[in-house]
Amino acid sequence: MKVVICLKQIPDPAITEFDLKNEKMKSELWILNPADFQALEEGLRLKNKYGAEVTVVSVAPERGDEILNKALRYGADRAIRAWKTPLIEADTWMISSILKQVIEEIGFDLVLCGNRSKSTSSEFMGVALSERLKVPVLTGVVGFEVHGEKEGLVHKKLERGKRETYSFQFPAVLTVDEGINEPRYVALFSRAYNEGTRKKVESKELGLDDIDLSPAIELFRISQPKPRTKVGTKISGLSVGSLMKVLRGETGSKKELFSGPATKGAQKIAAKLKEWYL
Amino acid sequence: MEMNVIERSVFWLLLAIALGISSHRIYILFRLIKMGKETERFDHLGTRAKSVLVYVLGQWSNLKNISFGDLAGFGHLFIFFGVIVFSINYIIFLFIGEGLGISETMRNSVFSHYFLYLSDIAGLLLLIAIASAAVRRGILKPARLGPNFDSGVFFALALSIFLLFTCYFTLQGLRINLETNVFRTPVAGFFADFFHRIKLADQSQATLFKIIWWAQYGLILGFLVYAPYSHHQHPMFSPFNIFFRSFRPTGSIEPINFDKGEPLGVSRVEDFTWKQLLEGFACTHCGRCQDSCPAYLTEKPLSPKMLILDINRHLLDVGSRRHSAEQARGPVIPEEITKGILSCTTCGACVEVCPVFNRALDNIIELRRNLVYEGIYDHGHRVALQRTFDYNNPYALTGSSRNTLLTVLGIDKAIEGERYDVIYWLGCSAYFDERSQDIARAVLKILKRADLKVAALGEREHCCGDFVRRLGDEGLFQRLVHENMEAIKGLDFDVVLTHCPHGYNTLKNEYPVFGADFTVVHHTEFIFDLLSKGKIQVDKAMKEIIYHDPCYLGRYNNVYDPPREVLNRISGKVREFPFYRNKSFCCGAGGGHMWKHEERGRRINDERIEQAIETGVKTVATSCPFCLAMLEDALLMKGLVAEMKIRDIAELVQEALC
Repeated sequence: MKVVICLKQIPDPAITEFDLKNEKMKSELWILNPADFQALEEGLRLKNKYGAEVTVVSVAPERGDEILNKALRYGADRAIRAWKTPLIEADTWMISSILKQVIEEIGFDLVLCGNRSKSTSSEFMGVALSERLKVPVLTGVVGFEVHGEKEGLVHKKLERGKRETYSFQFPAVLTVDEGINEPRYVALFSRAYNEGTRKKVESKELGLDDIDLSPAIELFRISQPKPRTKVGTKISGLSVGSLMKVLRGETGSKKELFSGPATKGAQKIAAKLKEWYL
Repeated sequence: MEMNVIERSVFWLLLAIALGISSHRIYILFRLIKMGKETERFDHLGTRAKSVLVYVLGQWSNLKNISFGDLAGFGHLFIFFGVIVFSINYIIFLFIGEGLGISETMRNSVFSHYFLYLSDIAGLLLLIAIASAAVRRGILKPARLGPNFDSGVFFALALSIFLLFTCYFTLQGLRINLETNVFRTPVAGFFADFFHRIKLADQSQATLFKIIWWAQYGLILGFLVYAPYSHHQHPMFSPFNIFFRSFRPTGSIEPINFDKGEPLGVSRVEDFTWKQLLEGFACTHCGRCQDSCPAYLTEKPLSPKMLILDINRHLLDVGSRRHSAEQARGPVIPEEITKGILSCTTCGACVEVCPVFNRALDNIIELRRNLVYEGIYDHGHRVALQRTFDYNNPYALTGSSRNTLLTVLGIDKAIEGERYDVIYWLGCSAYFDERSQDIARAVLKILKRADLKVAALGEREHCCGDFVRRLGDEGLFQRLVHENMEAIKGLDFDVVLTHCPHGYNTLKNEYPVFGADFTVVHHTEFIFDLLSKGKIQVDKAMKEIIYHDPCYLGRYNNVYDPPREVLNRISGKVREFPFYRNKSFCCGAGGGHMWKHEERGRRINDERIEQAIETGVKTVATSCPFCLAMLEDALLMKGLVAEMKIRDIAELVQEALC
């Protein structure tokens, strides 16, 4: 069984800032997209269970070696990085055409992608790949099982914890939802780590002619997040009386207490309601 | 009664056979121990010899653990001296005297008079000790002797010791009657009178003497052969174990040199050092470690005693198989032996009480290192390690939020070129946990009162690596060490102050191996210093306080007195837990337990807080943010938050400032 996993290197969302003038993201720290990490974990589980051959692929400049090396250290068998300089502004559709070439060259039974990236979040890569590769696609997978050599079952999430289950035949593209698993941890100098460092990332230079260089979308604008509307009450500086009101939850609309027997109380409430709404 | 030539030949032949069997066995055990890795244990010969004098001959290893509830150490003292005296007795009178046919000369000197008298007393005391051991095992049945206690073997042994001494005293009595012994000793005299009274003829007495003499000899040879095959090998191995003991402080860890290659940690017996393999033979099965282990006492699947003994049993298995098949690497230590190692809180109580200086804790760390090497984790541990790997702390705090906290606490961020009195190592818990921030606030107030210039590292401070190392992830630990040392390197300061004993222990004891050369103080020491120098003054007005010793401050660093001194200055009544100082009971957070996912059995912090509740004191003082969190958590579970308070010493001092 040959499993290909597409990895994307994204700027670390925790420290990334937007450069609004040049409409670009600034980041010094590039990390592996979390959903892709989980796709990798699924692939590695297939490797542990069925002896699948796991290849990771990324379209990235040289800095991409970092995540590919990481994937090797986590247990991937092969890592391929494809790149050509004009791709710096490429959109998902263009990248998918490169991935298609690489994946077809390796040969595959399953292609696993993360459902979405934390940087562009287009959720389109899996679908684009299935179009390019002419194989079925299942998106948002929260669990899957493989039966035999050629088929499997896929679970997708519906609202309120409901699940859909599809059966599918190899070859196929699956995009996994974040939360499908918890990726393993590979410690420095552990067995897997040492084996991974002995493997090398294969880099692939592409001829420009091979690439479908027509972007399907265009980035229009990056804007600052809108300021949030403020909720809550400022309590410093309030008098004790009003502070107690806040603490008892008596702010906002007016409240009134009616006492007496139930029938009397109900009559009073009814009268009050009439007074307010009529 | 001298033996004739035939008897004497039989005598020496039997001894040769017995010695042959037992020395063959000891040789096999020696070969097994030699399977272990090298470790330097021939340094400090003077100190080593002194430990043998104090702990073996002086029996301090047993006496140090004696309490009102546990008097077994006295029993061992009597047995020990009895055995020593009788070994000498048998060598002088039996082997040299009777074996060489010079019995009369040997027995009738002034020295023998005193020595036989001493033997009588030693023998009596030994019999009393054996009898009380039998009562202890048969009736009292203390939990620490389980679960590997074999009553059949014990009672057979106790009976044969009893028989041996009956033989000895009868023989001595008969010797008086047959006039081969000039001196009369009390117990022997009693037996002599007995035979007189029943009017046994001299001839029958002589025959009886022969029979009993050979029975006694048989028993002695029996012991010689039996001992190295049983747990009574410990008298042979324990003195060596004490001689070769480790002088490193409790819980300190040997760094891994990654250039030396794989695999890391211990997965097979030959990965242990020879000293660690020796420990299994030296173990006395006393179970004191198990009896003080917080994990074992709260029904976790860990017993330090059984870990050491199971590894030893596995070693014997491997050894017996090795003779047939010569493999490059022996079999992996089975999982049922190592299943409990993640339950260890690394509190070090087992190391502290062990009479023969065994270090189950060191074995556990080595075994954990191999789990990390093979990629086997507890879920909670894995998450904490992953976060530490990605964010440099187990709480996944970002660097900017660390800086923000410095502003919130009103503390400067340390910059190069500036002179500081104190660099305050806040620790990850203070950056994350609001309760720990209270401790930091209190410490800062005290520092301000003492007029000291203080700064913290903010985003440059990473996890100190304590829990990382104790979970066995040495690679990540060493990365954190170098990052932290880089952060501290350019700064100009007097001391690094920390309120967390885990950070304190790691920075103070473990960083110097990697080249750190700064002074580290714990805030209890620091506050004590400020108080004694008069830089801050406090009122002595607090009510009763009970102090909980954090393991990493007490057992790991022997800081027992400064916190108590500080508390004595703010309160007239400082009480103690039933388990305190070096016997302190863990709060349950150490060794990565703070992040452990699921645990069976009772909770360790509940156990500790119950001990506090029983004393009736309303304020529990401690000096560790993790102890604080664990104990408060336990209070919350018990619904006693309104009645009792857990406070850090710094908070109490800050309240008492005047």
